[in-house]
Amino acid sequence: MSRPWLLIGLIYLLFFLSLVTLNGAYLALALPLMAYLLAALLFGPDELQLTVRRTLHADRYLEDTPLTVHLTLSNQGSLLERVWVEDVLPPDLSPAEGATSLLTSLAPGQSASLEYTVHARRGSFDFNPVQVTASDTLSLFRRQVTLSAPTHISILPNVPRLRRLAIRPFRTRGTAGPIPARVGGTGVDFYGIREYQLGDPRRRINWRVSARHPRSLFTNEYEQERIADVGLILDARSETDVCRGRDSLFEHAVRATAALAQHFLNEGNRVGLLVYGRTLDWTFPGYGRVQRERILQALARAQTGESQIFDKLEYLPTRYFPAQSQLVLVSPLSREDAPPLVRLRARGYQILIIRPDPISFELAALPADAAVDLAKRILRVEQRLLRQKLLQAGIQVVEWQVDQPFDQAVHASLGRMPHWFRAVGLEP
Amino acid sequence: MTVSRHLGLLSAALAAGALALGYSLAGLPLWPLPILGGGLLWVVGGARGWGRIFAWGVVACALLAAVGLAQAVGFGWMLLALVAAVTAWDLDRFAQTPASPGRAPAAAGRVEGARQMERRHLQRLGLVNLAGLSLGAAAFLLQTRLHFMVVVLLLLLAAWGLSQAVTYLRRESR
Repeated sequence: MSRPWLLIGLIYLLFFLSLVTLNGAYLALALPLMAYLLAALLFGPDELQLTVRRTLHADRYLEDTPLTVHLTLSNQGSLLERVWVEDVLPPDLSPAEGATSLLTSLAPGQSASLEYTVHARRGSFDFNPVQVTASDTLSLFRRQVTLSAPTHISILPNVPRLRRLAIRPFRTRGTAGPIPARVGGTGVDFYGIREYQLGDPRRRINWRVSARHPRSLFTNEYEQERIADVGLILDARSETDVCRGRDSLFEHAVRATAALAQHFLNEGNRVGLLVYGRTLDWTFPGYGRVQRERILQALARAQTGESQIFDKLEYLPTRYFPAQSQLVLVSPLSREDAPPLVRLRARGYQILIIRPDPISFELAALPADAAVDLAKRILRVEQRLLRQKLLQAGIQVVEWQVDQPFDQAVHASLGRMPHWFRAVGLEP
Repeated sequence: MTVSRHLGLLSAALAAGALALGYSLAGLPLWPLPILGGGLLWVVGGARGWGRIFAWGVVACALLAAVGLAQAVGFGWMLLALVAAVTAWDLDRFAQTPASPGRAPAAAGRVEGARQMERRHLQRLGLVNLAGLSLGAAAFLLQTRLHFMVVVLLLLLAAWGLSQAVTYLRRESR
């Protein structure tokens, strides 16, 4: 029973007894209770006229960066003897320092402020409305309001830096860039020899070859380097994700995708992102810093999920990606993923798969016994077969054990060889 | 333990003591011992933080005061017991809220001016108790016979007051 009801119940009990027994003493006994009730009613809060403002230093933060929230509550109404302000945090934000609630009293026109620091994991969050409860000092009657202070923050994934990666899409764009375009012209890397044409610079004439053919001259051709279309695909299907306590393989995949996006954009390429999971979250291809921000925001809100339609890669929408462009799929892959990828390759896409290794990730949390060892061996064989199938189709696969830095893993497989290394034909 | 908590337990003991003394002085020897036992339970339970013991305590006190009046126990003792019980009940509630200086910071959040709040609360409660005691005593001493119509009017007023209180509480709890 609430306190006011208890008090009113006792008062009326004594009233009733007074009437039944026609004894005024019962009525007199009820008077202290009535005095208490009246005092609470008299000093109880009027209609609450409060405004609240929540401010953050920025609307985007990097993962694991503490963010400071400042909340100001202003009273435009009458005196509030006790005000309880509570900022209810979204579930994935945990307070690190300071309190998220405050009890104070507010005179008319007075303000109270609350400052606290929270830690956040990657995600896109909307803060809840602020709960305010006001009462008199006896705390018998309360008024509660929910004040809206719309605040949205994006916690972006940490982006590891990558060294130069070598990709070779079948088709490049017209602008100069870092990717070999499979077309002769001006460039750095030797591409071939052709007969001299009027206008060719003399320094390009290959005198050795020309000496063998007295009646004609030959010039060296270099491979043009251009920018390319890169389509990043992040696999957000629940079935391919592995969780280990609070850590999940998907989080590593998100960071890897962010690193790749940043790298390709820094090199001037046109990059798009498709998060393939419960729904299709498509970030239209673009260039530069704005596109980097768009991709990071998309990655901040990426979540794993289940979908009856997108549970296989069969429905990967190829119309989103320009023909013969470079696709980079970040996925632990499932057994059934090879055929759709092979078909994609057959359509002319250059495919690179970054595969965070789910087996080693899961093994770290399992006890070392014979059954686990057997399971590991079986899974490794399956993994090897899948990899072989993909390699046979001309799909590059980079295995990444997530406890190893992403840059290290990717550079070992995709790092660009020095020129002299390629000159002697040792390019991978 | 804070001042409020100490005062709350003291008030509970005072309420039980006043009841027991009132019953004892009225020549009812069977009552004081169980009342004192109940009071002891109330104080111990209150000190150990048993939930709702103070609410049960105030109800029991009101009922015992009513029974006491029926048994011709001195009105002053019953009034004192009821006021002390309400004080204990109120202070227990205050000690549970974050404004109480003895509360753990994690449970309390941040409290601005806890000491001032406690002081203001004790002042308000003291005034309310004083008013209650004075009004109760005055009402008891200045008993007059009312005309039937006045009694009916008072009843209607009480019913209106009840309906207002119910309406207010319903609106607040929505």
